[in-house]
Amino acid sequence: MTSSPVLATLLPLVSLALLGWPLAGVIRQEPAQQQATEESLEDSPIRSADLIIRSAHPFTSVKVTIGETSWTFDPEEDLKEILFPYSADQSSVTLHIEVQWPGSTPETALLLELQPEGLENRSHTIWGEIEIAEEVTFDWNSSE
Amino acid sequence: MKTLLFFLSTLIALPALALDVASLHPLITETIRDVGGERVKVIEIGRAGMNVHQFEPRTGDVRKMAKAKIVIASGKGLESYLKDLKDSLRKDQTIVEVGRTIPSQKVSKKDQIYACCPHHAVGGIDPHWWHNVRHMERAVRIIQKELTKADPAGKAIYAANAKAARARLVQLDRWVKGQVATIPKKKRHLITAHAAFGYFCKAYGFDATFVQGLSADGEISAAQLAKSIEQIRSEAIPTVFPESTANPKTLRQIAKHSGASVGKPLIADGSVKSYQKMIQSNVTNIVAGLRK
Ligand SMILES: [Zn+2]
Repeated sequence: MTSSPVLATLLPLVSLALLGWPLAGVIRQEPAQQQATEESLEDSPIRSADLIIRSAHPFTSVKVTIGETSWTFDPEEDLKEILFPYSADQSSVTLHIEVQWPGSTPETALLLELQPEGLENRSHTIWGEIEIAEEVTFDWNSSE
Repeated sequence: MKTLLFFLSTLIALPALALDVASLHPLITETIRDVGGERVKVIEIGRAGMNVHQFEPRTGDVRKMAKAKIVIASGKGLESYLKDLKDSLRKDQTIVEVGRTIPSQKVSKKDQIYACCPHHAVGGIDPHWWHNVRHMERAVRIIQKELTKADPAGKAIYAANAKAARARLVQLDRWVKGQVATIPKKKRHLITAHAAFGYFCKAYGFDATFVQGLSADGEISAAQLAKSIEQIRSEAIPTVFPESTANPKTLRQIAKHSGASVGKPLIADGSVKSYQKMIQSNVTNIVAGLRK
């Protein structure tokens, strides 16, 4: 077999290409979108969160209020996406919770959990029957 | 005509693969499948068995990602190549880092004796968020939201699948807590090789000591070794745990001199097909080792 110098140069290149080389050399196009960083999340005065409820017995309604804003859960709902004001200085939020159960329900428990972006989960269990209103403050100050 | 109508109706009834999504981490792949069901085609870039700290996509992988509308990464700095990847993808493709909104933990000096690589350096953000099962529940929601954004017609399917997946994870979390409760409180001290179990330890109430890096020749100093041995002796910790992807040499030395036994290996980096099996296997091995 006679070997051509062109082939001798090309072959290693072709095999390299077949193996694929790391990303850095790939032809550039218009870059894809990327989300904001974790740091920008920390500075935000508004936090997005999942507000989740788990109830031992079916409820009639659950209303949660933070400041001026309220969210009402229907009996078949267990999760709401909410936005709430949050300052890193205060590191806390107060929720006013009103729960109603059907009249026939025995004393029961309802767990309310807040899962804010970038912050640990916080939860509170409410015990009661028929109708109850409670206030709870979730705090992220304590060294966990 | 009837045959034609029948043919057309079967076409409509076929599950539509509405969305192509690329996954950079095996645990993310499983979660996308759980939430996306038959509506989503997953382009697996990071596969089970890969080294999640060293993997980088190659040109062939980037080519495979061309069809993907979303590229989903584990995040928290684990995929250090994301900036380069972003430059190689199109403008209409979105990169999502699941870990971005999951609460972070830093690798702490208290826990860390030896730093093997930037991922595990003291003060750095620990990327192994998946060891807290509740964090995986958040991952399900994040992926549900992203799939819905990219394919609004699938909203109800993604919501139902995500709800079922979250319920399974709540059960799994309860199971973990139940298992941990069988270990006497003063024995809840997890000694492993690399600093991958910080989220697990915080979520389930363990002290943590990570003695060795990922590198095969990760030597630690005699003084550090002596400190670990002393700690294990004084706390009477019965077992230290190797990892399926790290050299057990240092741990064996520590075990030998401290009188602890070497437990069954733990899976640290989530380079597996089944999240549930990984958690069950880790917790079963930890309980068997520490309940002694
Ligand atoms: Zn790791």
